[in-house]
Amino acid sequence: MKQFIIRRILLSILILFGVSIILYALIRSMPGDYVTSITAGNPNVTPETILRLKKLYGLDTGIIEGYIKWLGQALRGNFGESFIFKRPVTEIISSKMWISFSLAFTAFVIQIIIAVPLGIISATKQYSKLDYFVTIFALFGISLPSFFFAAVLQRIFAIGLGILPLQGMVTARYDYKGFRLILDIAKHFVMPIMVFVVTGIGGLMRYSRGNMLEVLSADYVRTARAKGLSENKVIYKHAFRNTLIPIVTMIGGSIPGLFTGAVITEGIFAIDGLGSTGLLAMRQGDIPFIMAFNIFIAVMTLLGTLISDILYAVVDPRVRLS
Amino acid sequence: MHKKFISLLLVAFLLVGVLAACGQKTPAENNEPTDTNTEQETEKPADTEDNESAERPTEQGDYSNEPALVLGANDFNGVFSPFFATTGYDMDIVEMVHASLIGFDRNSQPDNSGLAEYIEPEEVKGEDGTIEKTIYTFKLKEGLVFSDGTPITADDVIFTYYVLCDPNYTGSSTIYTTPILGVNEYRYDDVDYADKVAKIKEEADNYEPTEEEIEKKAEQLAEAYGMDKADFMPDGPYYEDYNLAGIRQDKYNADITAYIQSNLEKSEGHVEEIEGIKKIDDRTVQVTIAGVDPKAIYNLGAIRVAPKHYYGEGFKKGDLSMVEAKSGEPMGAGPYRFHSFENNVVTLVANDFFYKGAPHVKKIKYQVTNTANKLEGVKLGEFDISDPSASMETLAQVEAEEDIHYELIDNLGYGYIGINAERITDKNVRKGIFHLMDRKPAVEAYYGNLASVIERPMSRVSWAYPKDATEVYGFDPDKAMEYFEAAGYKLEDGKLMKDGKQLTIEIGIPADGKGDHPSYPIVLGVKNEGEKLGMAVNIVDYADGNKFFDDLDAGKLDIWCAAWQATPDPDMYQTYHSQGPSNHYKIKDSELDQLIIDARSTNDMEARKEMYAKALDIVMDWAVEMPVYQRKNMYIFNKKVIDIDTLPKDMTPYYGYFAEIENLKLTEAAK
Repeated sequence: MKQFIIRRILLSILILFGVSIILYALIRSMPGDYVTSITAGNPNVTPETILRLKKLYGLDTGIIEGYIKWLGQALRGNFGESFIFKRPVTEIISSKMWISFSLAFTAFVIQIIIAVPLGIISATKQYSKLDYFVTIFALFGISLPSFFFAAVLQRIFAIGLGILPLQGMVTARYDYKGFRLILDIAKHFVMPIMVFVVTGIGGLMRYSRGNMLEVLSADYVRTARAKGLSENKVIYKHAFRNTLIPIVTMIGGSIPGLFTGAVITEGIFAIDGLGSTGLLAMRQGDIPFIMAFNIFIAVMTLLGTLISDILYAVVDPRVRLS
Repeated sequence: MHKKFISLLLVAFLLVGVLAACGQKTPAENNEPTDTNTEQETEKPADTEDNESAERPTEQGDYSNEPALVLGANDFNGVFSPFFATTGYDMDIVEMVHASLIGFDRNSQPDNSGLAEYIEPEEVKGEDGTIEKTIYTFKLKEGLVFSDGTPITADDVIFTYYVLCDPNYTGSSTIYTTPILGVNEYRYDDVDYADKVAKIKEEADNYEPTEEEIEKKAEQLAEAYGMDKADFMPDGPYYEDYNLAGIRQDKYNADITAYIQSNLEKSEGHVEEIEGIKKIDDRTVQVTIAGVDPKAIYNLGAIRVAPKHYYGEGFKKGDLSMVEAKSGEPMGAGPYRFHSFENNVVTLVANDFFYKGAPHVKKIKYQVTNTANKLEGVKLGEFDISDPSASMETLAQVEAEEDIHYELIDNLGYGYIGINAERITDKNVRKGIFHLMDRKPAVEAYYGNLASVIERPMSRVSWAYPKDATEVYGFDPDKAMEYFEAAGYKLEDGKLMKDGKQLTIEIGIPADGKGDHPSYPIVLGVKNEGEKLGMAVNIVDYADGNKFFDDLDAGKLDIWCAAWQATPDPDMYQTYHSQGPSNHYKIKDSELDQLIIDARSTNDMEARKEMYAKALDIVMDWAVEMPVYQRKNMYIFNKKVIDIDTLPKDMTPYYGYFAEIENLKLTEAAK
């Protein structure tokens, strides 16, 4: 097990290395750069000015030289200062990821609470009316574009009924403190969380249903039934536990990804999370931030797969990692 | 990390549990004072007896419990530094927290509303009667203080200039392009800067190219213009003006780049002072520039004076890290003090020491919002002021709302369609194409009353826009055909042909890939009418704006649709001078060049007005830029919260709704 983890980590480093090369090359090849964007439309700008600014921002090098410089700093833990925020990128990421995480995690918990039982019920009652209803609901959620669903929610709850705030993280007009502030934030997070839950629930539900169906057709379930156990006992004692194996690994693997933010939803609801910040940085060609942000996503993704592999071994004693 | 994780989890569950019952907004009644630094010990301003600051309070009020006036704004970068702010909304905060050295009126002419009185610059003439230098004197008013109570002195003004002119300054201000005496020597750390550049120029101008170079350049030119190589060789008609001049220009560019690069490499400082910036006394600063530069007052006067004791701790040439570190917490002499930026809300509280008088509205918050929600946000009362993008639909909605007051203010800039004269070389062809453009219906369809057609390529906001200008190229396909025929094109099999080639043009337009652009119907019209006449017209709709501007800069577009931002001064060097770096039109006209140079060499407004009117006529005759529209921006205000009568009258782009912020009042109901 230890050996497996070490090997995986070493492999991850190699992958990260490759990812960073591709990222850097792509970002530097984007049309327009930060210096162009801050000097655009300013009639006082001369070619000399642009030359100097490019030098100061480190944009005067070629892709390879620039990458080596970036890598040299990054290996020492220095991801540089964001062009547009004028602060160290690591500081920005670590302050904003908790906002994104608290949103995504709350939504994720709600999703699990709803999706797993629904998936199991619809599997046990395969092809029943309930099963069809749940399946249609799930597919409906998966197919809804988040920007559209967000706009619909805003129209209903904020503009129509007036019970929820349209957007934002707090009520700007008043300076709430303590518990009142938490309530205020919670109220502002209801709609974004609804968007996450409804658009994300389908996948998890279909996954639980599929797994449950597979388990239900396994030999040991038939044996349990043949022994004359009650249907409840068969499903919730024998089948359910085995269904949990893939679900737990999937959930464990998803957790790191919750830190990386949601570009569209955060933007629509004016939430200062990592996703909307990433988009802002991308639009303005903020190379240090985009690099660090994408590397962060890559690390979280690799961490997610590693966790889910380890959990697999933990939950299922038959699996040996070597 | 583990603990934080678990507590977050708990909070998350808690939130879900209690959401249901909280539908109603109430102000927090007994919240504690927010921050300690809103209430600070303040030094008494030095001399307060003999001026208006005698009534100035001695202490800043604590406004943490005050309900706020709320603005709906776009994303902030959180860089509220008077030196480094780049986006418009960051800039708005900078303007609230800092005060400008010189104030400007509704037409962007300097007046006495700033920290310093406006004194006419002094022109120093040389022996031959030309103006050698211009001296600007800025005398700070008496008794001025920053919001922390420290007096504003000449040192603060000079400090602000030095940061903006620093060799390692990375912000977007370009004050260092003003010919301040000694600014280049300071920036490039070379006492002989001017001599060296002159020498490089002289060497390049006398450079005799080798035969190989001539050959190579001729090949390049022949390909670029689609002409014969022989035309550009020493015996050809275009050798001097294009080939030789081009090689010399290339040499100059290469040499100057190499020189600047080598200066950038070395970091040792030799020049420690900017010759032209002088402190006369504690309240007076003198800035001397070489020659005349009508734009100088905007560069030198519009600076936001920054407190040296706050931003400049340990400041020395080349090291701006301390200045940059304060970017998130600005402090200055503006009407408001910065309080915080958290949860996507910027909080400002009144600066009771503000030199024009303490603002009535004690707290202002900027709430970040999605642009699409700006109108709804005001309707729902989530914020009180916003700037939704002006469209006919929004206007109709706003007009239907009883509680919303709106203002339409001209945008500082204009939309145009440009032609590259090096790609479409025949003036008659360009004129013909212009006669195929039907602008009015397009602008009306896209903007309704929110924009109007302009007849000269200049924002109508500018004082130099000739008010009596009339249409030059009306929509008239017959006339277009006459011009094409004059250019030598003949109809063969329904195609307009000359020398065996069909008249072919390509039009680039950044319309999001779906035709969403005010000029789109115009170019579509050119395509339809042009094809009827026998042209081949190809419209390229760019989904990526950056790609469009890259292609434009590279000179790859025959015809393109874009917009110019305007600056307060109408100088045209960058866009229409033959050496102008933004001359995408490739307009090269010696008479125009002379007019542009003359107009930027005098401060006489009436004389400049005349010169610019003439210059614009020349540009129109070249048929390289079709002026299209002047549009308006929309600002909306909630009448229930804001006392509309206290907004400034006759707003202009230079004099917006916050120009008299200290007088703005809330309605009785809102208090």
